[in-house]
Amino acid sequence: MYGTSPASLEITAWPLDPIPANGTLECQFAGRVSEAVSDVLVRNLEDRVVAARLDSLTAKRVVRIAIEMLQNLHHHAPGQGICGFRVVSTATGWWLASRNEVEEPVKTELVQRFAELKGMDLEELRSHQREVLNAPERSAHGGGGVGLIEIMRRTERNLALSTVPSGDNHWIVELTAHIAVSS
Amino acid sequence: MNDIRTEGTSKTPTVTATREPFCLELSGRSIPENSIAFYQPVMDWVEFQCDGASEMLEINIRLEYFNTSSSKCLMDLLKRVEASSCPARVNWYYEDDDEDMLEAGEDYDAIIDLPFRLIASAAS
Repeated sequence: MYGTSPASLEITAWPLDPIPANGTLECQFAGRVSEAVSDVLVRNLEDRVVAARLDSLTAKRVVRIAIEMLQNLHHHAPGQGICGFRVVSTATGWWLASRNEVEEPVKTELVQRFAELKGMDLEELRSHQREVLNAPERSAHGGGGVGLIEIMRRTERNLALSTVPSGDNHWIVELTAHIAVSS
Repeated sequence: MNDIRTEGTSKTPTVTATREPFCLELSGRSIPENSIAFYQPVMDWVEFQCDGASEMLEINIRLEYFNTSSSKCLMDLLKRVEASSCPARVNWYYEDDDEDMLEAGEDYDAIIDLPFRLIASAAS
């Protein structure tokens, strides 16, 4: 699936992510994300995991992580913001990547938050997620910061964050999740 | 306040909230863009029906997918029931091979002080 692809987010140029070049492209989008776009991408991905005959839990995790990534794009690059999303499969796993542009303070906060979560083991992540879920605070979008923890847990910490400057105090952030396929 | 009977969509769950029987059920998927707006009528129903109620409210949750925005709303919903005087019980259904949904149920159980049953069903 292809959308519009401005120069800063060319769908052929994902220089930072660790996705293998020899994988099968399952799903791809670049452009302005909307509720309708997210809906189509999730439906498309559901078809792809069925076609790939993934085991039930792996298939659900692929879709769940996609849902969280697309929710994140919808919330953090709304309206005119340009986003990228793609899914690649190999014999050993599925890779999901999202990218969007953010301002410098947001990037700094995200990098710091990512490092904190990456430093936790799975039990610590679960415990932390319970604390955040139980806290009264909410983000403007109703989540309160649970999404990144959820993705970190469901990928079993196989999550990478890359940033690249895009000028004028803006950065492109790429989040890449890997879900291993059990043999 | 009227009962709620809302058919699910590809992004929102089927919601059934009835006084007779006294039951609240969510099933399907819950990935709305605006989860707060979606769940507000359910919150209102719980607030109205639970305050002062003496009958047991049966809460059945059978979700396949829910986004983290919905997870917060679900927590608020259960906390609202917990804070009322209404006796209630939560039945959390999950497919037997879905450890993620089982863990989610365990997490709510650990936080919410309501009787909680985790019920496995055969994967479809």
